[in-house]
Amino acid sequence: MKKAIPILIAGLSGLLVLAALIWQPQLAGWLEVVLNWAVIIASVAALVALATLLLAHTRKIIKVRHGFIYSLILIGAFLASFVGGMTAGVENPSYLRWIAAIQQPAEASLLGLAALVMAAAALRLFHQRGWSALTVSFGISALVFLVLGLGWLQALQIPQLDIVIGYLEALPLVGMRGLLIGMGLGALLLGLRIVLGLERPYGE
Amino acid sequence: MTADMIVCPHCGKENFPQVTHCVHCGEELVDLFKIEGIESTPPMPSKEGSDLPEILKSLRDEERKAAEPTESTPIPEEQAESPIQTEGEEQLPQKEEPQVPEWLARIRTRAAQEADATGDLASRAGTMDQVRSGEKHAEIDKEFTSWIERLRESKQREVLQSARKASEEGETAEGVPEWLQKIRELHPEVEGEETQPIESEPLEEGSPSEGVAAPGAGESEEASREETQPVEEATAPTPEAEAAQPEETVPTEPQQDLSAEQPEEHAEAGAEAQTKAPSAEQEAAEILEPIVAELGMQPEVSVPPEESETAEEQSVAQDLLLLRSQKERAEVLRNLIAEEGKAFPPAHKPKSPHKSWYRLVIGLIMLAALIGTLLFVPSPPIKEGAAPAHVIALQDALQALGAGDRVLVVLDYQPATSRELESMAAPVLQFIAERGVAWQLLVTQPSGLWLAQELASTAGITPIPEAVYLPGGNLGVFALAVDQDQSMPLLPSGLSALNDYRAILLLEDSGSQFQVWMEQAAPWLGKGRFLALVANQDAAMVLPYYDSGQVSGYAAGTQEGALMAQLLGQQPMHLPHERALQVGLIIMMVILILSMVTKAEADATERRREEKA
Repeated sequence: MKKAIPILIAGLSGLLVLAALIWQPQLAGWLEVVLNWAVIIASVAALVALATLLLAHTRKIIKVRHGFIYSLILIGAFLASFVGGMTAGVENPSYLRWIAAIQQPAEASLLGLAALVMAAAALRLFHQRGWSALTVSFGISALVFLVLGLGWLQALQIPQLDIVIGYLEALPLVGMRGLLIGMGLGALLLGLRIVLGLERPYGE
Repeated sequence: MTADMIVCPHCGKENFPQVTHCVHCGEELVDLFKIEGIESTPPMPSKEGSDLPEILKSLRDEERKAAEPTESTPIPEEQAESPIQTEGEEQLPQKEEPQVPEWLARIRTRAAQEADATGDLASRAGTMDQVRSGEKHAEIDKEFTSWIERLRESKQREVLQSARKASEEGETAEGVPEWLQKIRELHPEVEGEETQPIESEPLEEGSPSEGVAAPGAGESEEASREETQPVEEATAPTPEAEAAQPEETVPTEPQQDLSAEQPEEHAEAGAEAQTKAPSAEQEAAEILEPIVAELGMQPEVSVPPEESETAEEQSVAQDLLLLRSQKERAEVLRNLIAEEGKAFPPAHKPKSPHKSWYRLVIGLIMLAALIGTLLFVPSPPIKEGAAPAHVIALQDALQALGAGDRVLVVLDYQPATSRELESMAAPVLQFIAERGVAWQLLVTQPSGLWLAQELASTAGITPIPEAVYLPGGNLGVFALAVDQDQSMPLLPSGLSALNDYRAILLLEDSGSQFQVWMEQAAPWLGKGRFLALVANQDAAMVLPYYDSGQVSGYAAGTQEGALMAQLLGQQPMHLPHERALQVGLIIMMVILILSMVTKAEADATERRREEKA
């Protein structure tokens, strides 16, 4: 019984969404009710997760565990954002500028760091992995697409070259399309398994 | 039924097997409830090692009993008298218990109980008990002991013969072992000293059969021992030897086996000869010690077991034959088990300094190139006539919008990519604002609230329209698409149903978020309603949706965004980061090529070094 109830709820919810997609006018009201429940439960779950996070970091600060300084920064940033948003309002221009001034450089730095890591990895690739089919094909393809990314070859406007470039540029699109087809099939199968109770991602 | 009943040893009457006391006389019957093979009482103490086989212990006990009368102990008389005692019968088992092995006591007790059931065997056992308890007890014991002695001697002879056969293979033509020849070559002066005690002392002992002491046999025997060290034999020492020196010469190493076996060969001569044999051996060991040390061999030393033996060694049966390789493997296994669970010390690799500074150099080069590009390199000109189909489709969709149409602009990107998307979206927003299209901003991330303000200010749109935040992520998008009649109270106010918008313009920097809109919202809205401006990295993700008609048109990256602006008659925003992107791409190419070149050079250097070597 303990296992049957979640399976029943998940299966019925999935079937209801599928049925509502087919019979939209008739079942739209039922679907909205179910969605309201889902939104409320998701909001409560988000609050619980937030409380758990804060409690965990507060405990870490109280017990002065290793790395507690980061917990201190997290709690401080949370309190500042929370108090600022509650007092000034989340749509206050000054408050938004303040948040943007912190968030934007931080995220841009992360992207820059990723670029640096990739450059270092490219430099060490052949030294660490040696000459193999994988490394050589990776190196050549990376070089080709870096050159294409510059756009200089396209600017030459040579018809024969454009055909080759078009063929090369279609390769990642073809790959992505195959990836999307695979994802779609996987999502379809996973959805069927959940609806039929064969898969229980919500359970233990 | 009779076999299941137990007989009280006091009154001789039958009782049920489950009773603990005799129902007739009231005596305890606990000893009779022992289960075969399970000991409820502690094992008998044994000096020779409690891990020996039980039958061996019993044999030794028997032999001790046989040896005790010679040591003027009046036990046989007491034993002879004990069956006659009638009142002391209750004390008799307690006196005999330490002398009779436990398994034998159990067999006798069982045989006495099951006399009828077991028949002949039990009756013989009972007869045996009667005889043993009679006057001939000592004689039978002696006969039994001598029989065991004979068996043991024959076994030892077989072992020695096999060892001699093996040693003869390693001997030279003169019958001298190879190792002895080497020693003689190295130390000719010691040779005499070495052979002297071995030759003389046995003569003093006067027993040619005493192994080490015998001139020829002793030497050949030693040689055979040395040569046959791979075959380590540890035959069981005789009870007399154990009685005389129970813990002196227990073999621990292959070299020590030699000393351990000498007392066994002395067993025939008696306890006196046994006590002298180790001393002769010690003298020989003292003579050989410097030679052995110089050769780097392990000296033959009889170490007392309490110093050399571990608990595992004590548990090895003494009649076990071990090859040297087996013993070495056992040693390796023992070491492995001892090391099991212990933490290995971390390997302290010296950190090569070049590994850290080359990253710094790369970072500095990239930073310098970026700053230089931003400061000194002008923006590239946009070439006309290169617009792809999906950009033209987007242009057509936007130009189809007119006054009175409603457009929902969804900001679904992160601050890190805001520069790229703002440069694409600003001209489009300017265009639809000029055409009198009513547009509304919807953000799906909290940071979208201030990103919307930045976008509006970049586009130069005043007053800045209010952005609506849609909480709930994927679920919120799905709910917004489903809620056609705006009956869901949890959705943000100020938004119309998605069907009321002529177009939904997605500003995306994430392929997965774009998929959410396509898979959660698009099925409820129908085709041809979505337009997209996406980051360059998501171009491949959007194209299939464009080909399937779910997206009416899109532009990806700053180049297509600038082209789009040009097609719409707007001034494209030439942000300097486009140049920075190109410089970054060039740096990556250079690094890749550099990596290949340095690797090829390292390989060539290695080849040259090998050729020289």
